[in-house]
Amino acid sequence: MKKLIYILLVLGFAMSSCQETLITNVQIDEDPKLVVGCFINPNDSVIKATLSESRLLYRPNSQEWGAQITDATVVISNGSIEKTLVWVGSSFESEGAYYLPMSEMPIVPGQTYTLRVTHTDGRTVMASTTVPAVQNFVPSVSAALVTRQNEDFIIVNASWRGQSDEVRYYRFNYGISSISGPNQNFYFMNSNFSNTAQYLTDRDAPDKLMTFREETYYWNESGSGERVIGQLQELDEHSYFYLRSLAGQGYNEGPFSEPAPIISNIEGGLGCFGSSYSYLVFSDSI
Amino acid sequence: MKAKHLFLLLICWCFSLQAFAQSRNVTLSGYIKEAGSQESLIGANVYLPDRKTGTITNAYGFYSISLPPGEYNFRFSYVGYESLEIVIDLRENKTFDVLLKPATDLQEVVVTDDAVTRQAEQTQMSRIELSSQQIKDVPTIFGEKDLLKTLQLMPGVQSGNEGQTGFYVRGGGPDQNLILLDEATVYNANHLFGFFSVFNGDAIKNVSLTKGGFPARYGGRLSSVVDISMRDGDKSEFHGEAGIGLISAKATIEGPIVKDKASFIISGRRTYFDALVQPLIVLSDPGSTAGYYFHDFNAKVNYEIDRKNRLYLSGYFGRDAFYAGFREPGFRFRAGINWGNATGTLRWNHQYSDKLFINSALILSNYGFTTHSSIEEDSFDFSMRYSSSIRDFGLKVDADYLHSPKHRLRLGMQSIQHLFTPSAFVIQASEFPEFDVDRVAQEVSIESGVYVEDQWTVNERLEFNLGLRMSHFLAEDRTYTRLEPRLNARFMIDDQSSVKVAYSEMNQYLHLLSNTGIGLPTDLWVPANDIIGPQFSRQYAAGYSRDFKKNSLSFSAELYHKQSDNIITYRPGASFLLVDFDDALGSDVIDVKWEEQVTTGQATSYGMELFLQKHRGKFTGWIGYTLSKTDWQFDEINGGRPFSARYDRRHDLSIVSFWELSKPRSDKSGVKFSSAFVYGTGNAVTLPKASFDAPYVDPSGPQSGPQSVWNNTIYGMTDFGEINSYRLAPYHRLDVGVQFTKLKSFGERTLEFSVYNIYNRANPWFLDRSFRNGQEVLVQYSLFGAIPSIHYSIKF
Repeated sequence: MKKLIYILLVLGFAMSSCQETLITNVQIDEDPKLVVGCFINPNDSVIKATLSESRLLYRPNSQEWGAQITDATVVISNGSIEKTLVWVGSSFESEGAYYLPMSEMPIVPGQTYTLRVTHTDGRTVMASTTVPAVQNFVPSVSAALVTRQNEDFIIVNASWRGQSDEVRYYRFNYGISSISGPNQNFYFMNSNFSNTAQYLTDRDAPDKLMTFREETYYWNESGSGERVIGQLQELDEHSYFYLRSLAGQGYNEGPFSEPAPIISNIEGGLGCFGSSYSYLVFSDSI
Repeated sequence: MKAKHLFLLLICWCFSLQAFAQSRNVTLSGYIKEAGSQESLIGANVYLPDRKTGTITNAYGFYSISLPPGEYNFRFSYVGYESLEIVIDLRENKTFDVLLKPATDLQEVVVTDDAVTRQAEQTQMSRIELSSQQIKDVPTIFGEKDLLKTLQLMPGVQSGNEGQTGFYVRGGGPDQNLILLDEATVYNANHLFGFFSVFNGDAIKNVSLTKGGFPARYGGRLSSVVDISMRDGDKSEFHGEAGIGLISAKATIEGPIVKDKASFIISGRRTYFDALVQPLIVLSDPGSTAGYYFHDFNAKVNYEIDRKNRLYLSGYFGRDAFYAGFREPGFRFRAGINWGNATGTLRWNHQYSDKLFINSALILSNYGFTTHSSIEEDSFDFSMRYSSSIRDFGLKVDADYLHSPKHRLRLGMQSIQHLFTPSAFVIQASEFPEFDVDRVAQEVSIESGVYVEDQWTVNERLEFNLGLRMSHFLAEDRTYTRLEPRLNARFMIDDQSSVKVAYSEMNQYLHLLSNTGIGLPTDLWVPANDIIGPQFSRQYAAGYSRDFKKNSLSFSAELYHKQSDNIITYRPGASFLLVDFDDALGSDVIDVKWEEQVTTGQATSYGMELFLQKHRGKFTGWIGYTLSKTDWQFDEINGGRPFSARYDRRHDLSIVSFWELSKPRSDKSGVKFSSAFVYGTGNAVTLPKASFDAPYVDPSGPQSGPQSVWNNTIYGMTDFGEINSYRLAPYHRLDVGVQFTKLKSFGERTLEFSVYNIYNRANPWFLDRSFRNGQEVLVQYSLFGAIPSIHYSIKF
């Protein structure tokens, strides 16, 4: 009897291990989709759009990552005039994309724009966005220096209160620059795409005080006085949900995880046609 | 206030009904119990064949029937027991207790055609009863008998993933099932991440599952109520059971404390996988330790103070633990996850009169989850602990009042204080006290309900169960008061068949935050508040019931439609941990608001359930088939378009059979074969369909807009297409078992062999993407192949 129990025990656990089965005939009733990227902002000088195509899975695929579609027709309209964005190939100054100087199509806060993309094979996708209106508010940002275990940290606090007339969506990024000039090159420290903390909304209470707080390592490379520069962008809802969903998918990839689809406002396609309006704010010296 | 006034009016109406009811009736009341052990029998029949009327015992074995004065032929019966038929001269109120003997094969002849409650006669529809014997007979994985897995074999009840005890009733999620153990809510009914339920079959007397047409005495969940009664314990003799299987061992002992007055039962179970594995771990790595175990413990005492007063004290305690550690000179690391339920119920039965029976209960329930880790070094100690819990403290009073043959009233109230601790987080670092964190987030709410039910027998053919429940929820920032009308109606077409309809409205004030639906201990209960309100459902059902072949066969067909509003699910990509580390050092911990992680929507489910049962004879069992559809709609998911719920299952079939070849005798083993076949449409899943390079906008400089001269692109993002638009392969398997039971001098012993998934079907557990030969492919992972098991038990 003991032998029998032992054999059954071993058999039971051996046979209960995970089995893999390759699914060879995955039926996906779908064609590749056009992927559009266009984010307009009154603070820019050009309108830029990128265009690529999705790659269907589970079948041989020759399309390379990062390949752009260069011969499509990309048209932007503000309801009264239409302008075509022109493909400009890669150069030392910029990467290949469809461009239009904003002098030809000014981006005006509060106005709605439509983007229509037509592929040479006849596929057409389109989307609209309404540029956030200018808000009469003054965001504030402060930076506190703390030292722990001989390491310096700064605690960045920012706050603002949006107008209560509608739900608003924000993105807050910050960087550190010398006091002498904000124009020099620097990077935003929290703008990694998978960082959800940079996206905020007041949709649960449209007039609530919005706050942002983050703590990060600090080292003063220049040796001169520095301050925190904050960029508060008010996003249209399409940009907000699209960018947040990029962060969500980057964060959540376990086999039991709920899927985190990328939210898109491109009808019949992927990507985003969004808009934003930017506000700059500076802290006192650190 | 309007709701309260309406409710008071209804109560007054019910009492006025009684005032007009016949006042010249006399009442026969008493208890029906098992002879010998005096275990009360729930749902036993009291039937008057001449008048074609009767009643059944309540959850404490009490019955009461009111009739005009006269001489009546009464038949007392219960499935598996000898019936008792007796003529009682009922000229005045009388009490009459009945002791029914378990039937043996020699006494089969006395099993009468009404020994089971005739399904067609029951007014309550969408209700299924299970006995502990049925649970013990169904073959299961690793030979572990499981109440919840047996329920999954019933029509309208669907399993989730392979091997899981989580169940989905009429399209509702596992969070919408109210599981009561001796009236205490069990918040997490899972051991081992859902592969086993917390209920030990040896300690269970009776289980009922209600899927629709909910009586007003139940509330608080949208989809089902699983009402589990623990055994009371033998009042006359000591008995015991012990068993050992592939992964666990268990033992039960019961007996009198004061003969015929008070008894106890204690039952315990523990897995021993950790004990088997530990020597292997030590062999491979002497400093290491790791393991997993679960144990649970049921206990109950009851005391019959006098004929009219009884006390019951019952409790459950269960715990799961994963642990791992490593030790070497000057260094020690330990980590673990623990979770478990504890419940306790103190009940007082008081029989005020022949017509009025009151049960009062004090109820405690607690579910907690903790994960911890610690490092101990010569100069540095660090420990971290994260926990969450829900604790209930409740009072419940139920009255069963019979005033006339036509009306049986049930009234009651309950109030539960919920203490939620969504997250408690402690970090201690001996050398760096500035990193210490100690924060506890707690919330208190009170959930209450008052109800009235009237079982109204209009005539021999037509019977109603009318009910109204007023539920009330007091949260920290919001109060909800809602009326919930309930209706069950039955019309007998003839002696053997009936049609039934039911309507119920339910509110659920607690939400379960669950990221995966597979019963992880991290699943978290939270209260409705002013941002996320209660869930609500409205269910219609209609059915036909028929009893055949002297009631040894019964058949039912039911149609249902359920609309649920304000159900919740996580927003895409949301985090299910309610704390977040602000930086790499974890020096700042941010509480994440759960309300911001979820989104609300609605569910629509409808279907047809067919159920054919054979109750008696050597060959018994059932066939259950469900045809159903469940759609969800969330504004924030799938572009607001409806999509199939993950466990939407078009077809679900269960065929369960038991064949008792021979009964055990002193000179020969009794042999009983069992089998269970299940088939279900594959789960709806969201399959990655394409990858793409997602344009991104990275701020490039403070004085320009967000536009960069560089194409900010996130490569290899996934396009899922429509949510849950891909179907996994159908699920099916056959489990078989055989029990050999032999009578011994001490009692009996049973040896059971069983095989789970005997034809080794590779059922889908989950799909994953993988690269093979340079191409992306889809791989299906299957969990359990054919698993043979053995189980040995003795009973004395």
